[in-house]
Amino acid sequence: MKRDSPTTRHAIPINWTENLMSKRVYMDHNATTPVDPEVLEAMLPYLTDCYGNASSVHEWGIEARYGVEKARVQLGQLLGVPEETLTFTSCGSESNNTILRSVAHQHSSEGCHIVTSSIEHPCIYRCLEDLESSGSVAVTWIDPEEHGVIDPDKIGKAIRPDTRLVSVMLANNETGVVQPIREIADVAHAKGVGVHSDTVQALGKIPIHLGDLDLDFATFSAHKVYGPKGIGAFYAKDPTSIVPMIRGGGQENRLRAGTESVPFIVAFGAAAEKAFRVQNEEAGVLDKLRNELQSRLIEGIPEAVVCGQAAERLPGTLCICFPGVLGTYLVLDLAEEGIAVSSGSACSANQSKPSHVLVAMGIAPEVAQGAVRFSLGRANSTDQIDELVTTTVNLVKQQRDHPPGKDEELDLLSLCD
Amino acid sequence: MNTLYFDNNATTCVAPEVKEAILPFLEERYGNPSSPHHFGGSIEGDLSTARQKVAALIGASPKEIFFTSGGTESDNLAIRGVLSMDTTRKHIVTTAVEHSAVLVQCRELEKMGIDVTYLPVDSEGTLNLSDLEKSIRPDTALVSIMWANNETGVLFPIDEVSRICQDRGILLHVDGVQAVGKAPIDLTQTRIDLLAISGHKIHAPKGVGALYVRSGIKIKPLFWGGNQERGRRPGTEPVPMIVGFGKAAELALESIREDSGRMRLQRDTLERGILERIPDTIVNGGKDPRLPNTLSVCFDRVEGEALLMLMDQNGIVASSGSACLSHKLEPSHVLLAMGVGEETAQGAVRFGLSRYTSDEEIQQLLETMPALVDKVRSLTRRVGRS
Ligand SMILES: Cc1ncc(COP(=O)(O)O)c(C=O)c1O
Ligand SMILES: Cc1ncc(COP(=O)(O)O)c(C=O)c1O
Repeated sequence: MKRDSPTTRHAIPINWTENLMSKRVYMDHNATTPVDPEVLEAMLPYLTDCYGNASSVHEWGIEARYGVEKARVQLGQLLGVPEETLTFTSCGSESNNTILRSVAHQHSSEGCHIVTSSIEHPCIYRCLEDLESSGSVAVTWIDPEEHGVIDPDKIGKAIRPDTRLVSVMLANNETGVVQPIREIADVAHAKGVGVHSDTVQALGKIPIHLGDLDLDFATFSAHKVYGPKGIGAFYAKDPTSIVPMIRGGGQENRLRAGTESVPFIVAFGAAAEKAFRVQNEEAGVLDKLRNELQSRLIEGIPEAVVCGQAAERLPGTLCICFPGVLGTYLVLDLAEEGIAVSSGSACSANQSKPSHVLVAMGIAPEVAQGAVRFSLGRANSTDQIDELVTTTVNLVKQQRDHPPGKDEELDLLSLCD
Repeated sequence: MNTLYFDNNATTCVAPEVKEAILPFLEERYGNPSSPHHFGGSIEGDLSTARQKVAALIGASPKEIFFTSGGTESDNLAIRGVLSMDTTRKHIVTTAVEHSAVLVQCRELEKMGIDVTYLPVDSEGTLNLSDLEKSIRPDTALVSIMWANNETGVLFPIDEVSRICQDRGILLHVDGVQAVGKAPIDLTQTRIDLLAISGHKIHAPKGVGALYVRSGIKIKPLFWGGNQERGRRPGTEPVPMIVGFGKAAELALESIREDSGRMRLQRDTLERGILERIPDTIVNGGKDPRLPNTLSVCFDRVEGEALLMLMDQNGIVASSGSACLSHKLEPSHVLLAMGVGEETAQGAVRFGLSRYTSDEEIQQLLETMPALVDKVRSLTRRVGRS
C-alpha cells in the first residue's frame, strides 16, 4: 500500500474483513479493536500538520485545542452528557483508579466503605486491594448470580452508614454480561451513596445514556471502540469531586495534568462519533452473528457451556467453556490457524488459572479452564463463521484426544510472563 | 504565509520517519500486546525494540525503562513512587525553577505533611551546590532536580548533583524532559536513580513518555491494573505511540551531535542578531551551559503577551514560557527566581529551535522581529502601562 506523500496525507482506508478473511480471523474485539479508517483519517492531520500544544495561546495551540474540544463534544453526544463533565486520561485503567482514589481521598478522615462486585477488571480490584491494604477503605465484594448478573438487592444489603461508593461494571469483559446498573444506582442513591460504573467494554456496543443510568462516575477507553490504545476518559457528574491523580500543568481543567495527546484525543472523538452513528445497527448485526456462532459451536460440541447465556449480553461477546480442554492451549492452537480469540481478559491471558469471573459465577474450575472468549466486531462477517466453527470443533476434539503433557505446560509458562 | 515555528520547547512536530513507523500499528497491526495470539504476539517484539531504542538514547538498559503517558506522569510516578516506598522519610529537595509537573505536585505533598526545600538559583539561573549539600536531612527521601530548564534552557550540573546524592545516600530523580535528545545523556557515566522523559519533545507524538528506574530501585506504581510494564504502569500499552517514541529516540541518538551543533550556531546567530537589532533586550540564563536550541529574552518596555499575539499574526510562533501555564498572565516563576523584575519578566519571549529549523527561518525571524518589538513598544508608550 502506498503511504501518503505530503500532499495526500490521509491514509488509504483498509478493509479488514477483506484483508483478514484470506488468512486471518480477528475475534478478539474485547481485548482491543482495530482503529477505524474514519478515525485514522480524522487523527492523521493532528499527527502531522497540526502539531501545536493545545495549551499554547498561539494559532497552532488554538487549532489543537479545537481538536480536543470537538472530541469532548463528540464523546458527550455518545453518552448523552454535557462535555464539561468529561475528562481525558491515558487509558481505562487510569480513569478507574482516578475515580476510586478520589472517593477514598475525599472521605479519608471519616472512613470510607466501597461496595463492588467480584467480577471487576484488575484495574478496579487491584486498586481497591491497594486502598484496602493501606487502610484507606473497607471493601465489600458482591458475587454474581449464576448467570453472571449482580443482584441489586445484594448491593443494597451491603451498604453501610459509611459506604461512599458503589462501583459495578456495566458489561463484563469476559462474559459480556450486562449489569442492571440503573437498578443498582437506584438502590445506592436511595441510601445516599454515589455510583461508579466501568463502562469500558459497553461503550459503543450498547447505547449508554449516562443521564438515564443516573451514574455519578463512569469510565471509558478508546481502544475498545475502534480508537487507538493509550487514550481514555472519565465522566464525573460533579467534576469538583475529583482529586487529580497526576498533577502538574492546568490541563483538563486541572483534573489531569500532562500535555494533551491531541491526535489520540481527536481519534477518540471520531471513534465516539462513529459509534453514535452505527452502534444500533451494528449491535443487531453482531448479535445475530454471535448467536449463529454460538449455536453452531454447541452443535459441534454439545457439552459446551455458554457463560451468561440466560443474561443480557453484549451483542458480540461469546464466552464458551469446552469441558476437558484447556482454554489457554486452545487459544494458542487457534492462533496457529490464524484465528485470534482469547481465553479471558487479555491482561491475564498469560495466567493458566481459571478466570476469577467464571469462578465467581459458580462455574466449576475444571470447566472454567476450558473457557474461550470470541468477541466479534467490525472486523468480522458471516462468511468467517463456517471455517471458524470447523477449525474450533476439530481442535477441541484433538485436544481431548491428546491432552497436553507436563512438558508443554512448562513451555507455556515460560512463553508467558 | 509560511509559519515560523519557534515553539519547540512546548512541543515538536512528529518526524516523518516516526509517522511512517507508527502507521502500521494504527492499521493492520492492532493486536493487544498482552494477547497470546499472533495479532498480539509479534507486537511484543516491537515494544521491546522501542524499549531498547529509548534505553540506548540515555545509556540505560531496556529493563530500566517504563513507558508512561508523558513527562508529567513520569515525574509524578518518580516522586510519589519513591515517597510511598518509605513513609518515614518526609522531606524532599527540589528547585524553585522546576516544571509544574514537579512543582505543583510538591505543593500538594506539602499539604499532606511532606517538607519540601526549594533551592534558589542565581541571576544566571544556576544552582549553588552548597545549598544542596546543606538542604539534605536524615529524613530526606529524594532530591528531584531538572536537567535542563524548559524556559531558559539552563543546564544544571547533574554530574555534581549526582555525586552529592551518592555521597549522602539520597535517591536522585531528574526531570530530563527538555534535556533528552538535545543534550548528551549517558547514564552509564552519570548515576541517576530516576529520569523522566517525554516523547513529544523529541518528535514523537504527545501522550507517551518514560520513566527510567535504575535497576534495583523500587518504586510503588501510581495506579493499579494488569501486569503491563511489569506492573509499574498498567493499562493496555499504546503500541503506536511507543513504537513512535522508539523511532524518535533512534533518530535523536543518530543525529544529536550534528543537530545540537547546528542548532547552537543558529541559536547564537539569533541571539546576536536580536541583541544587535533590538535595544534594551536581555538574555535570560545566557551563560553556558545551556541547551543548544533555547533562547529566552526579555524585551524591556514590552508586554510579552501582546508581542506574542502580534508575532502570531505575522506567522511567528513562540511563547512566553511554559505552555502549561501560559494562560496565566503572571510572570514566569523561573525568571522571578532568577531575580528578574516583574515588569521585565512580563516581556519574556522564548524561542525553541528544532532539528528542522533552517538558517533561512532564522534570518526571516531576525528581519521581522525588530519592527514587531518597536510596534509593541510604541503602543505601550501611548497607552501607558497599567
Ligand atoms: C521540564 C519539563 N518537565 C515535564 C514536562 C511535562 O511533560 P509532558 O508534557 O509530556 O507531560 C515538560 C513539558 O511540558 C517539561 O518541559
Ligand atoms: C472492563 C475493563 N475495564 C478497564 C479496562 C482497562 O482499559 P485500558 O486497557 O485502556 O487501561 C479494560 C480493558 O483492558 C476492561 O475490559
